[in-house]
Amino acid sequence: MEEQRIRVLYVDDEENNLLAFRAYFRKKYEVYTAISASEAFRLLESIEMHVIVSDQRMPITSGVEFLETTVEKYPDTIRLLITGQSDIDTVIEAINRGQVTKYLQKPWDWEKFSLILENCSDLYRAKVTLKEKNAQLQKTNDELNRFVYSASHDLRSPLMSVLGMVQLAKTDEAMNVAQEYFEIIESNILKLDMYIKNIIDYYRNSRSMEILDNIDFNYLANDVIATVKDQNQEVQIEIETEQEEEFVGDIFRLRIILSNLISNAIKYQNPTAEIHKVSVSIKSGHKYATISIADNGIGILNEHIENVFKMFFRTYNATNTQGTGIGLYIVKEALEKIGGNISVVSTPLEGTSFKIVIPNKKS
Amino acid sequence: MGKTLSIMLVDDNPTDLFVHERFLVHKNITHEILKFLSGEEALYYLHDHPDAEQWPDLILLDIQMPVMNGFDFLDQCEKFSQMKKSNIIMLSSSLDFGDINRVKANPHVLALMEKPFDIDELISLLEINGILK
Repeated sequence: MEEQRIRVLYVDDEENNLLAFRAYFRKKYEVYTAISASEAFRLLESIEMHVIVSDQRMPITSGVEFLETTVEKYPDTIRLLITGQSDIDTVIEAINRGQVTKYLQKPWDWEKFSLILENCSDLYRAKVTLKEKNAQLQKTNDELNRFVYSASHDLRSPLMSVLGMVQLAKTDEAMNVAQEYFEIIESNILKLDMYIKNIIDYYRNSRSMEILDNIDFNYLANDVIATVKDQNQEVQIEIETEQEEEFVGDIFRLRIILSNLISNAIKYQNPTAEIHKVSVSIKSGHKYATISIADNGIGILNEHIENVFKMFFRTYNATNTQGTGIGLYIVKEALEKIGGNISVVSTPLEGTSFKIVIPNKKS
Repeated sequence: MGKTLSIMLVDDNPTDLFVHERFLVHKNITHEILKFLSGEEALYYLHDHPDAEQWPDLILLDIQMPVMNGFDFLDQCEKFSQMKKSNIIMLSSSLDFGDINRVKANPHVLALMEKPFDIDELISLLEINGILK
């Protein structure tokens, strides 16, 4: 990953110092300068700084006073104070109170200044990385909790239904209903199996690295459709692929993405519609492949559209099809892993259209 | 067994609705079964049938349902004064500790039973509580 350019704000009431600072550091950092604390505040309102350098001796607002006011709003920012020998007590006090991270003594030599700024940049990056890792850890933890709760219910539920059917079959005298019972048992077993497959996909996706292959979209789309079309034979599926050049991508994740989206399009059909249609269109270019999967099915209510990519989100619907609540979540996670994105447009009872964009990893 | 009951089943799982209906019919304890796949649909029904005579004697209510779960349904039901007439038994395929406590704390709920329910256990529960004579 490319390292983010560090944004440095330098505040000093001496114009010459500002100019010299800019000249020395402009190649290495994104440099902003301000002649006073109030000008610095104006800059901070629109730009978040990673490192703030301030002179201590300024009229009206001192360096420490200024830096102190930025602590609450920008807790990750690294603050560097520049002082003369006589202000040493102020510096010690400011560092101990956590308002200032580093200090530089006047008069400075540029190499030393440069080293300290580099230090500040590393500190900032470390802080941000730690925060990101923490957020990731928190997300994993939350998901795990929800997963255990949901899995314990959703995995057992179809199994308990089957058990109920078996107990019923044992009590019912009329054997001519057996055929119906077996069908219900079968549909529950298939549901449980789908759930387990989804879980396996989820774990594979979260664990494994990207594995790149040459992709023939026409072949892939047809292959995926062949495995999911049995869910509703009445649906007409149209495929349109345009692929002029080589496309390199993660075939395993592409398969997960396509099969979940196409399978949803087939499952959530509008029972009142005369013809059931799903159209898959793929345009593969030099930089990206754009895939659209559209249906004329039951659609998604506006209030639910934000939630469809969340783990274990489900609604009920006119088709009585029960989802597992992880299909679209896996789609989104898989896309994140391969650097793609997804958007959805839907009108209830008219249909849903998913559009995904995936980068070509050829170069 | 003399008196039979009108029973409302609320469950998002069609198989469980089917199984529960068959058991209840098989044991001859009901003259009317109302089946609903969601709490909302059941609420609409109750709303459209304000006459307490028409309210079910017993509601078998699944806990884990999408959008409106069993407890949400109960909260909505409490707005109806006719609710006094109905006895509620909640159902779940996995007994969650938190759910057990919520059921115990709810004065309207007679019991929490694990799915698939044991029909004989249900009948003896109804007899002990004088709902079925």
